Amino acid sequence: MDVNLIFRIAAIGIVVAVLNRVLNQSGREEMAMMTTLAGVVVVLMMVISLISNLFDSVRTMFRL
Amino acid sequence: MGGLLIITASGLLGILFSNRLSSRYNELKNLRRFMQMLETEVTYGATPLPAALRNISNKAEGLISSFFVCISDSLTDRRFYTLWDAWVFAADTALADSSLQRSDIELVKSFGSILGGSDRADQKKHFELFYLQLKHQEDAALEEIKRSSKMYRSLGFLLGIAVFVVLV
Amino acid sequence: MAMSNDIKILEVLDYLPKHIRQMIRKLPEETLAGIEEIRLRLGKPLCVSGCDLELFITADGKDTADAGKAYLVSGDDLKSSLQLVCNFSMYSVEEELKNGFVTVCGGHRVGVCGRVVAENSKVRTMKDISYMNFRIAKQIIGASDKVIGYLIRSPDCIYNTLIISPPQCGKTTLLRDLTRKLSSGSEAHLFQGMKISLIDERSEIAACSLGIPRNDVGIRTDVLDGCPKAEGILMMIRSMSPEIIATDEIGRREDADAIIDAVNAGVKVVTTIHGSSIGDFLKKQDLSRIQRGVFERYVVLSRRNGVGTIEAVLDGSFNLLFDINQK
Repeated sequence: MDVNLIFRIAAIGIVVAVLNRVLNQSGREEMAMMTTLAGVVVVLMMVISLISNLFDSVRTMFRL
Repeated sequence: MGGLLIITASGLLGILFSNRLSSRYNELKNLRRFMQMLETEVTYGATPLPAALRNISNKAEGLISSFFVCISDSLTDRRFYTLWDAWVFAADTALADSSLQRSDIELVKSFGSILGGSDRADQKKHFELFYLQLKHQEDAALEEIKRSSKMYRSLGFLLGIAVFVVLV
Repeated sequence: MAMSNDIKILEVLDYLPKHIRQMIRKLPEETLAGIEEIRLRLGKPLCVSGCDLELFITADGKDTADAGKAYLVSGDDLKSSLQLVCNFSMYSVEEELKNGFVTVCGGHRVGVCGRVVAENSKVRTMKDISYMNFRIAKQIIGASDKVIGYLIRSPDCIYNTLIISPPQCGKTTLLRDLTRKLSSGSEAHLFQGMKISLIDERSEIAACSLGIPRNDVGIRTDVLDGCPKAEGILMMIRSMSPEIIATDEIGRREDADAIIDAVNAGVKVVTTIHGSSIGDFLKKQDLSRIQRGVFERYVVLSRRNGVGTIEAVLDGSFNLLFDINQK
């Protein structure tokens, strides 16, 4: 577990939140929604390997 | 370091976009101002266009100045035989680097079709109409600034941070 | 800074579209020198004419007497020409268009013809111009030699002179040369030269461009360019203390009144009028005030032996001093 990763996910969260606010304020609501979606996708991609490990370990644990 | 570079580059890009909006507004305002000077030369002085345009280009600066000078020179050099041709050419070259949008440039071009083509009273009416249309564009530009200028600036920096975070 | 006549035609060509200009320039030198008019007519052959010639021009610059082979003038040619003539600014020649012609740099008259827009029976402007006539103004030094002897009273005084002439007979050329001679003086006639104020309403006599006369009108001449005659005469009398007033083509009552004012102020007058004889002058009711007792010399012109032929010179009581028939 990498503390770095947590910080990075947090940073992306903040950035997305601020972007959301700015875009909503200038009326571009569709763009705001897109950025939120993009943020979720990016974070998922960052942790995809961890999630894959998680599922593997759960699978092996239950087969035991 | 690399990260700082990415963030500043992205931020500057955002500022650039934001500035384009405000310079469009300024250019439109300038255009209107110098067109009013041109109107004075035309309706009061009855000065022929090549001389009138050159007089005003001396008082103007930057893009508008080079726009007027381009028309004036191409007419006196006989590169074009009608005002319309010279006007359109100048609009396509001198105004190409401006922050003016296509709708603004089309508006300017359309004015070239009636400039110099009728008597003073008629020209005055056309000038009045042109000012109204320019004011309309100016108001739209101002609206645009209020709406999007801050957005572009924030967008620039934030995207820069996002990229930095993802890559690092 | 007088211009030579060969350059004069080049000045006029500057107001024609490029391809027409090139066509005309290809003509031989002698032809070019003899051209007095270039005519553009929409859809009709391009035509030049002069004293003894009338030619159609083909697309490759050859002259021909056959109208069928000539270059046909297009609508674009007329549009470009008009733009060049009014310097891309119709509003700047608004007043001139009302009279049907524009004077361009060099003193050349460009007649235009098209659809008149009238308002209250007066010409307001002209549009859809389909006919243009470029009249080339030439300065002929010496045009007044034959006539000046009759007009000089003493080394420092002349007679009030009226030149009567039909159109295209050289009246403006004569007036121009007369002005030059009377202003600069003439040794041959023991004339020392007098102060002349020239009111050049159509910018044809001195052909001023940016304030500089393109024609030589004499060393003691003051030129008022583009000013209506009646006002111009009064202005010059008050401001320039002339000894002679020279102006072209009088015809209106105000012009006659201004001339009376000039004569009463002790200023001599040299002027011209349209007509082919003394009779034509005496018939004009608007000029009734100056038909008797004002002019002391009358010069009648025609084209009989070429442009500028002097038909007759008469004195103030209409006695013949010179008659072409009695030579």
